[in-house]
Amino acid sequence: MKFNYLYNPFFLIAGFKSFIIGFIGLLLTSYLAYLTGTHFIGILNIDFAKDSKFCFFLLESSSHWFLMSTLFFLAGTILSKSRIRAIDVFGTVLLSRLPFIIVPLIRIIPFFQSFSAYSTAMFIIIGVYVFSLIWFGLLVFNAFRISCNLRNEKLIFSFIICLILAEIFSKLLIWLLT
Amino acid sequence: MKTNLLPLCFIVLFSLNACSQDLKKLDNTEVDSEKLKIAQAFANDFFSGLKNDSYYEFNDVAIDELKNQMSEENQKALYKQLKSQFGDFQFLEYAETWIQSNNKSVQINRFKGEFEKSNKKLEIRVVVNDSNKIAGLWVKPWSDMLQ
Repeated sequence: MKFNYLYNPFFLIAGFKSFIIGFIGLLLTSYLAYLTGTHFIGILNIDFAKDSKFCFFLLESSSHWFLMSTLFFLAGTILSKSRIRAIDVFGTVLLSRLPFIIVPLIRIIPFFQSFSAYSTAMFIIIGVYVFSLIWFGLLVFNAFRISCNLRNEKLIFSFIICLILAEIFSKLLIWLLT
Repeated sequence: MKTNLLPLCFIVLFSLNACSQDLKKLDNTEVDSEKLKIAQAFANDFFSGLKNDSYYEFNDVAIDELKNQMSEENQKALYKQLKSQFGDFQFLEYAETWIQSNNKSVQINRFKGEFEKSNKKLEIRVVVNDSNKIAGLWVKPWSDMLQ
């Protein structure tokens, strides 16, 4: 039963509490990403380069969160019969990003700091990233489902559309800034 | 069942490693400092010269193929393209050195170059061969993953 909390902790933590925990997680992830040069461009692209200032890494993480939460909130407001609280949507989505801390955390180890293409280090990092991506997917799906109180087709289709749009918009934003 | 997974993971990782380019990053103590000095001086002079509307005269610093390729026009065209995209060259700093496992005398020196308009640092890669001559020069977005 407790295993469920790993991919659906939102029955226990939601609203302002999840926002605070998620926000600390976001700052920590961005700082570790800055230290190790781990770029999250949207969620489907990861890049390894110690080439930018801290604010750029913070922007990469926070822009995707903000865009995704806004889209979820809009979808929830339009499609759900319940009253949607912005703090629930933004807080739970923020908390869902916690698995993204794993890759920058691993990249503190010297073996993973600088490596050649198709090396063991590269494949391990990609493997870990895929794992954290799946974990994030489960968390954010439950975050959307619970905070927007959506079900069935409405839930599935709006989730997929929001995910795609957030990915496109965040990539566009980062591209415009670089 | 769980105990069988560990050797399988090692086999997969070993097979994946066989695909790698066989490059090795050197510790600072292992780096040939003479080659590094040559590379750094070359990269600095090359970009500083072009920034000041001049160009780099290779003389005997580089191999013939590179000298022929890097004519005055080509150098200026390269810098013009860089400048339009990233702004003027500011400075460079040494980042790391790699070697190929099967050719240890060739040193791949990687520098991070700062350009005026760019939020991100660029890689300036200078390859120095066994006769201490410049054998390659690349400018590309910096990546911790050597490609």
